[in-house]
Amino acid sequence: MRDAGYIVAGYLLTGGAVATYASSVRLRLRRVLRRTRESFPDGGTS
Amino acid sequence: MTMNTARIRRAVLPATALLSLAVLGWLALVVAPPDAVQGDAQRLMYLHVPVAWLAYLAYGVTALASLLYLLPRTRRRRWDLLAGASAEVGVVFTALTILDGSLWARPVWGIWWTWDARLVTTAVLLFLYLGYLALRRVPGTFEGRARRSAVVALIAFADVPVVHLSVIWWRTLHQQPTVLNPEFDPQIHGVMALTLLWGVVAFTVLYAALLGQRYRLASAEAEQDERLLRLALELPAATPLRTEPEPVR
Repeated sequence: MRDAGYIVAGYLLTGGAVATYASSVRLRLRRVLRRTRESFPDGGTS
Repeated sequence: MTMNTARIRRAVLPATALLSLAVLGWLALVVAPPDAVQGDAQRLMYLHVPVAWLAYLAYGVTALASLLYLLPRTRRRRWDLLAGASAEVGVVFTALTILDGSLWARPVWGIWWTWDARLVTTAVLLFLYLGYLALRRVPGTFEGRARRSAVVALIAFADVPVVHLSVIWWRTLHQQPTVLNPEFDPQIHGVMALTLLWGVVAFTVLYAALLGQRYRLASAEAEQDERLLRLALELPAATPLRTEPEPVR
């Protein structure tokens, strides 16, 4: 396949960027939920 | 709904996106033939075009949600959160549009970058929405921040049609639209058209999955801020805060 290097780079870059972004959102979400649970063990209802 | 059911429901979209992208990889790299002029480098178009479409879609959702926030009758906190979430996903995909385009341009045009109308307007789009995301982080009341962000989102969206039409308005290096051209006459057919269409669908599912996650994060952050504010002000949980604007009846 001609220009294989560019093609592989493009597919890896796109897949890698999307996977990294999705993981960062998941991690941030987990962190926020954990902090909320730790700060408000009663659910913040009192 | 039990916790497990909720988890399963949340996993459906990401799993569908992953599966659709795997099929796209197979179609684009194995099934689709090389282009008669561009050769195998054209296979990068199966990423570049859907990713660019996604950026348009993401900013369209941001503009619509911002408009709904600005209109007194539909003003709700969720529209502001949705606008911010969609813009962040849009920025990721605009950056990828430029990078994938650059990787395609090197073997086909012989250059990584040129001051072409489409490239420049796309770069402007990226910087406009980076500015929008920066503006969202400027401290202020929820309402004030949401209102100014919504106005900026609507102004920034004006660049989207400029990006799309730039190849028609200014004849520079970037090729004219192959599918969404002014004549509504797609200049592509067969397996290539199917692969491209599949790519658009797969990336749209991916966008929905990412947006869902990012919106959950925005909601959780807003909720945490509200609870901390309530704690700082020593307000009971039932006391309303002005983070959810009252719509005009």
